[in-house]
Amino acid sequence: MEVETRTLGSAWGSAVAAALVIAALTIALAGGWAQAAPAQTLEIWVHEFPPLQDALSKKWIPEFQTAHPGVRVKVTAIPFAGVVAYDAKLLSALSSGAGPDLWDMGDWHYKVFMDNKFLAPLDPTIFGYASARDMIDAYVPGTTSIFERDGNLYGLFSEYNTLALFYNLDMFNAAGVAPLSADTPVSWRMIADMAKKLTKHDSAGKLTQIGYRFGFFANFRSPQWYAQDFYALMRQYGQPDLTVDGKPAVTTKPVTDAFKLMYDFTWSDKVYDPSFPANWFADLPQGRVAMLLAGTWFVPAMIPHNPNVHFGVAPHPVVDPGNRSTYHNVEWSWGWSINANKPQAAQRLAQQFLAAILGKKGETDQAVWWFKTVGYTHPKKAFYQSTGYQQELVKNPWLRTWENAFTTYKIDYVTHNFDEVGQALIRAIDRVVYDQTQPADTARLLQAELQRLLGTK
Amino acid sequence: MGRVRLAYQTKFGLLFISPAALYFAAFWIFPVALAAVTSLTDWRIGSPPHFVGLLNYVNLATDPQFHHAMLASLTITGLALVCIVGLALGLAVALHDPSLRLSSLFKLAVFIPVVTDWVATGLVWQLIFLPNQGVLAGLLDGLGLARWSALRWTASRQLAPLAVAIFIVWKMTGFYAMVYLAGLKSVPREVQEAARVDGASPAQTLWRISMPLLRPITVFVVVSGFVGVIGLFEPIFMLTGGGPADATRALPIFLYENFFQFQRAGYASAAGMLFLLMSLGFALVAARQLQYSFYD
Repeated sequence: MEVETRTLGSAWGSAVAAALVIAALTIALAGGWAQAAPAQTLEIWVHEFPPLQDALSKKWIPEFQTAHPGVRVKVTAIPFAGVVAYDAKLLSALSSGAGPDLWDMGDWHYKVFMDNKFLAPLDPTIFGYASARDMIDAYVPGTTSIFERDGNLYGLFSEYNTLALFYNLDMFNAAGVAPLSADTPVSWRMIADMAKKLTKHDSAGKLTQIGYRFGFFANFRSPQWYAQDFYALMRQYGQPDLTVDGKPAVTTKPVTDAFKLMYDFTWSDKVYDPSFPANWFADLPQGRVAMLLAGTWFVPAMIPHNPNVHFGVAPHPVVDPGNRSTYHNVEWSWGWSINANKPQAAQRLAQQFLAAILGKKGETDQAVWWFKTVGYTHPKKAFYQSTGYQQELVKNPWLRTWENAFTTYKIDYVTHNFDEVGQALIRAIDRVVYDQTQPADTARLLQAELQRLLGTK
Repeated sequence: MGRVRLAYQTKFGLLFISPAALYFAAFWIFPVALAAVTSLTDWRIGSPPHFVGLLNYVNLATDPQFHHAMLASLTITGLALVCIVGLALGLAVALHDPSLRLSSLFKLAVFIPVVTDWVATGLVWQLIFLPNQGVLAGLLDGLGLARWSALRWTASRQLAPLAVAIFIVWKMTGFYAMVYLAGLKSVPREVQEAARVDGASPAQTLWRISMPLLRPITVFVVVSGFVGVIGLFEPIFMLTGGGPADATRALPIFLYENFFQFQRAGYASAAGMLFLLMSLGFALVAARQLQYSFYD
């Protein structure tokens, strides 16, 4: 027993000695790290979009770090949709009180994030404004509403956009299809007819190119894009939302017609296949997809890898070009926001960074740069009046088509996408495009789901 | 009653296990207890919780989405588990063959998927399953099976659960093959030799001698495989995100969406508790089976 005790005692001594050595090494390393670390680190999360990451890492972050010695800016890009969803990661991090100092996110999150007090109000003085009202007034009326609460702004534009139809001119020429008008929208029926000529198979019957692609496909299951495409159709057919007076209303003709259009494109006309290729920015320029809807960022994203692409831009298709009441399009915003759970100093630094990359009161250089380089619009009144923006319109005539959308169409935000109602809508669209469920049956199933979700059954 | 005096060795032992015990209490027992309490509330993230008793459980009982998630979980788990057990045993038998050359290399090859990352390999499996242009489609084309190359592995309700199961089987089989291999090595050689002397074929030896002796191993593989597979989130999230049309929206995805996306923390916690009870129930039944196998 004595021997055993001595052995244990000796082991105990060794363990204590080892622990002391490890502790000493840890302290030494931590001390070294602390000496080497910058005074402050600004952590940023963004959704994965290469031009955005390039803009931050090659221009704005180096410039900011030069202007603020001792500050290190760390940016993390997270895939937006499909599999590892940016939104879900952001929400889970913030829910647990963690997350970045600064991030960008879609307009659909602002209500929930503000309700949960995840967002810090912006300090207008950092941006050179006297008050939040002064700041709001610097933007096109109504555009900042998504970021506003109790007179404060809880976000600032990363981008503000609407949809236009992009098409591959070479594919059009090869199929003998005339280019589209840049001024007048065509009907969805015409799109389907053109798309039939633009859909090709190889000798073995395998699909090699499709005429039209909706904004969602097998490995890009973004609720934003499911909902954007559907809401534009539903509104064009005459119904503004999935609910009327708070009650589900999806067995109506407009909703069923919207499902039917997706059904026809996929199964009757066979011009869209959700499981066909999967690269948002490469499929059109490389001749696999002839037409799709996108925002202004589409061009800066596709050009670097496909500089010789010949593309055209047309207005968003409508149900009936002869009926102006069917001219509906959607709008969306991405905003920069500050983590309310971070210390005041971190919040202030994040806002200084925002002021540097978005510009202070009266400055337009930053907005012009974002527009020219990344295709992101900041709807500041001063930006639209700037020489830089006017020069861009002259240089890229297709931008007129996009700009005209704001006056030609009734443009609204989408109401449901990432919430439970939005998820039910996605399931319904999936039933149509993957399972070939008839539009009327899809509408009935969706109605039952919404009644249950909204407690009206 | 006198004061209980712990032996010196016991105290020392307790000291050593205390970090693991603290870890277990902090990261396993406490969260489960918290989830159990939360499941009795209507807590939405950001709002104060209110006690609602068993309402969440009652609602889950009538929630078709929850039923669907249970069914999707059981489908994927069943598909994967049957393949894992069969393949792991087959691989173990092959690797146990003393005449096999380069067996270390084969063991390494079988085990490599186990140590890879779900997310990284998930991206690779996305490319493998891509219709028309994916790796699998190319392989099928090369084998003259062009009509199969357009199969929508991850984009059809029928095939998506199978695609997820295939990914899981690829990733997890190696581990259980090693477990079976260890079991095979523990089967007394003299028993096998006696069977051979009595004229048993290799298949008969495996089926009638080794398999009964491997029964505890099989039960372990089935129990840990079930619990391991049914709780998997990453392969589903990576390959299909729960789609299409909810075909692979299994319980982990259901919990995740309800908690983080819809902020229904109370409801998600109740679903989590039912999920836990289901896994525990399966484990207990299988553990009883394991006990019988030792004594029957």
